[in-house]
Amino acid sequence: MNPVVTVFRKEMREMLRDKRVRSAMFIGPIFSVALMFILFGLIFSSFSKATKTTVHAIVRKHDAATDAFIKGLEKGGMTVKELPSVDAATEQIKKGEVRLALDFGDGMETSLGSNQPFKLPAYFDPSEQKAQIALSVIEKSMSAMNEVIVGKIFEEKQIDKAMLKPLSVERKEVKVGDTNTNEFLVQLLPYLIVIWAFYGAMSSASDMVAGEKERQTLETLLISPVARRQVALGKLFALATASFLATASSIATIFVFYSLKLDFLKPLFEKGLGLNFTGVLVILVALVPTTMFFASALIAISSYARNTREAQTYLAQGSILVMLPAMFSQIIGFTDFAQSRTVYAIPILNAANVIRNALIGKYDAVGIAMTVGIGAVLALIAMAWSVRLFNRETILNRI
Amino acid sequence: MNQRINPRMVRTDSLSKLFVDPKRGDVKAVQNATFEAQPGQIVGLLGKNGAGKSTLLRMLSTVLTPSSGKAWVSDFDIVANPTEVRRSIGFMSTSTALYGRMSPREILGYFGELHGLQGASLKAKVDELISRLDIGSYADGLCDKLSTGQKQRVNIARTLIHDPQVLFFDEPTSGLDVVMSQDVMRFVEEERERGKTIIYCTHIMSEVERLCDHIVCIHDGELKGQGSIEALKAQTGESSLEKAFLKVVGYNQEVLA
Repeated sequence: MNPVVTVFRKEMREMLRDKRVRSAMFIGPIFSVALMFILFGLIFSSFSKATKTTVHAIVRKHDAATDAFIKGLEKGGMTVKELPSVDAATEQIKKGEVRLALDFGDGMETSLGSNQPFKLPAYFDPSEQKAQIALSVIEKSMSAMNEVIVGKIFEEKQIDKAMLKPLSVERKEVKVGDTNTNEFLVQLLPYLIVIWAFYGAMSSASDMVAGEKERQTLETLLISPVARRQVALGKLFALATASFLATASSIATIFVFYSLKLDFLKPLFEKGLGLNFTGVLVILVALVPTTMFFASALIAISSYARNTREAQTYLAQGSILVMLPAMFSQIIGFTDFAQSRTVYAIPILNAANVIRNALIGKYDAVGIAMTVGIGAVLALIAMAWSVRLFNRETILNRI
Repeated sequence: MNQRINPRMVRTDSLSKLFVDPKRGDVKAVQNATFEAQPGQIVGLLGKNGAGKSTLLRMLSTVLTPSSGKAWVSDFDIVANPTEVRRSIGFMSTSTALYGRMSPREILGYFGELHGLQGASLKAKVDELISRLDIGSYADGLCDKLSTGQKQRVNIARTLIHDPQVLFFDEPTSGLDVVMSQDVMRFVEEERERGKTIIYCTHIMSEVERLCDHIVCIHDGELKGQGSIEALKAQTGESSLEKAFLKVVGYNQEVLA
C-alpha cells in the first residue's frame, strides 16, 4: 500500500476516535448552523408576531371614526385595550407593562368634522423594537384610512382617485440568479461554511505534528523507510478531509433544517432555499482547494511549533487571518465589491463569495475558475512549504 | 551467539554533530566518533546524561544528519542511503510514546505497513509478536489504557515488526520497574541470540555488565575509550566497571579513592 495512504488511514482513524476532533468536524458545524437557524428563526417569527401585538388606547369619547379605526387594527390581528389617561399610559410604559399607547382624545370625528386634520399621539419607548414595529403597522393602517378619506373628497370634487399619489415608484424586480434565498442567510451562511472549513481542521492540526513531537512518536515515524514527503502528505490529506467534512456537515445541516418545515423557520425560508444540487456541487468544488490550503498551512504551523501549546497559540493567531475575509463576506453585499471580479482574487473571501452566489443561484464561471485556480496555487505553495519544513532537521527536532 | 552474518553491521568514522545554538553558540554534541558493531554483538554506549549518546544514535538512525564524518549501517551510508538504513534498523527508547487512540495490534499493523509488509505476512508477523511478547490480553484495547510495562512491551514489538538486522536501544529501562527492566534485557539478549547487531545506550552499569560485549565510553561528545569490560578494567587497573568508566572519562580522581 502507498505509504501516503497508510499514514492517511492512520490519521483518520485517530481523528475519528478523538472526541475533540469529532466535535470540530461534526458537532460544532451542525450545532452552530442549527443554533443560527433556531435563534434567527425565532427572531424572524417574532417580527411577524410583533404586528399582532397588544396596543393600548386612551379614548375619552367614542365616535364612529375612532371605533372604525380601532376595529381595523383588531382585524389586522392587534389587540386593543383601553387605558384611562396619558399619565397612566406613560407610567406603565416606563414599567414595561405597556408597549404602545394611542391617545384618541375626544375622538377622531371632533377634528375631522370641523375639517381639521387629526393627529394621533402615540406614546412608546423608542428602545422597544416591538413598539416600533407596531407603530409602523398603525401608520400603514392610518395611511390606508387617509386614502379612503381623501378619496371621498376627490370623488366629491370629481378628481381622479389616481391623483391621490401623483408620484410613486413602481418596483420591477429583475431576477439575477435561478433561485432565491433569504438575504439574511445569504449574508451569514458563507461565513459559517468557510469558518468551519478552517476550524474543522484546526483542532487536529496541533496534535498531528507538534503533538507527535511532544510525545516523541514522530521519531519512530521518521525512522521508518518512508519519505518524509509521504508522511507530510498523508497527514495533510487527512487534515484536508477533516476540513472538508466539517464544511459538508454545515451544508448538510442547512438542508436538514429546510426539510423540517418547522413553523418558526417559515419566515427564514419564505423564499425557499436557493441551494440546489448545482449550488452544492459548485460550493464543494470551490472549497476543495481552500481546504487543501488550510490543511497545508496548518501542518506547516504545527511542524514549526515545539509542542501542542505553542502550535495552538500560532493557530489561534492564524485563525484571525481566516476570520477577517470570512467576516467581510457578510457585508460584501452592501458594497460595490461584490460585483467586481477582484473579489475572486482574494483567498477565502473568493470561496465565501462563490458560496454566497450559489445560495442565490448565481454562477459566475470565471469567478469560480479564479477561486479554484487561486486556491489550488495557494494550496500547492502551502503544501510545498509544509513538506519542506518536514524535511528540515532543525524544525522536526525543535522540541 | 556471535553468529557472523555481515561483519561490521554498524561502522562510524570520525562522526561528528555540531548544533548551532543562538544562545550557547556552537555545541559539539558528538566529536569524531569512530567505532564498530558486529552481528550478534551488543555494543554499549556508556556515558552520563547529555554525553552525546542519544545524538549518536539519532545520527545512526538518520533522524539527524552528521556535520562531518561517515557512518554505515548494514553497509549503507547513512547520508547517501537513509531509506535503506531505515529499512534495516529498529529503534526503541523509553521516552517514545505510543498512539493512545490506537490498539497495540493497530500500531503493529501501521508500522508493519510503513515497512512494506502487508496482507497475510503482516498479520502473521503481528500475531507472532503479540504471542512472543505476551501482549494478547490487551492487544485490542487502546494504548492510552495500558500500564507503563505493557506499553514498553508494545514498543519492543513495534521495534521488531520488520525484523531489523540492527537494533538501537536508547535507555530502554529508564523509568521501568525491576521486573519489566529484566524483561526488556531478556528481549535484548534474545535478539542477540538471533544474530542482531545491537547498540545499547545506558548509564546503568549493571545492565552494561550483564548485556554488553563491547563498550564505548562517551563523555562530552568525545569517545574516551572502548573495548570489552575486562579490557577496560585491565586498561584502568580498576576492579569495578563503574570506577573503570569514571577513570576513562577522566572524572575527579578523589571520588575514585
